[in-house]
Amino acid sequence: MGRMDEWAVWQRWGAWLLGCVFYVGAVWMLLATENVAMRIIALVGMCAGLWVLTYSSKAVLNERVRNIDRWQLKIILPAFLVYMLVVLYVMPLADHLTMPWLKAIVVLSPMLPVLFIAWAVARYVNRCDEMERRQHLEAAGIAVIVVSMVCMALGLLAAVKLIAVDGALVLLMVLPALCLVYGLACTWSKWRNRAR
Amino acid sequence: MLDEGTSLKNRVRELREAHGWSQGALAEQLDVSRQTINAIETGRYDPSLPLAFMARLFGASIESIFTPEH
Repeated sequence: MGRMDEWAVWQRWGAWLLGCVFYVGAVWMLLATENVAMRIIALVGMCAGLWVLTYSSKAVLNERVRNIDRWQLKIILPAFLVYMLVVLYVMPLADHLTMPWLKAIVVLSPMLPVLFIAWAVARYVNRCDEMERRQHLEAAGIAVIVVSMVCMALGLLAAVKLIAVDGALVLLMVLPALCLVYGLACTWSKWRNRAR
Repeated sequence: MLDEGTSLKNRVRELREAHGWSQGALAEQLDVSRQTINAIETGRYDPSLPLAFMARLFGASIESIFTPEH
């Protein structure tokens, strides 16, 4: 088989598409079923999809997978799995609890794997080479600017009651929005340097 | 002395090709990404001093590879 970055272009893009299909299919399966066994299969499928996507994304950018990428996968995939299990099976228990402190602990339980993933990402960036660190810094800056501007615009519109904003939902969406813009900015930056 | 806004031109691509190395092969030797080598070669990124010591791989001095461009 050889290294994926040495495969033919169509093979690399094929692997990337396969990863996307695997991931999206697993997410759909997770949302569509409440059967525990099916959900576990879907979660494993999501992890497999992420694994294929990590390798193939590097390959379509003509980049090899380095030890830091393998380390990141080894750390983040289990943490992601724990996060999903906690969200699916621990957080719903909060509805049946009456003691506020216990309810708070249960509801905040997904924070542990998220904090672990944040630590892993910080360590990963620290182990990247100097140009990659600059790419990550630029992407983080773009993400902060975009998300804070959107939040400010929503806040101004809500202040004059032109729109109604669900505060809890907005607070929950800040981290995913930051991750999304950060990821897009990183991809754009890497795409510019893909040529050999 | 370098003026503000002065960029560096370099002979990395020329020397790399003279040694018969691909960008990936050079990147592996320096433990950096291939894109970093590509960005240096195309002038989109000026390396820091530690990375500029790649000159040793080519058996050359840093100043013979990286020169100011006004």
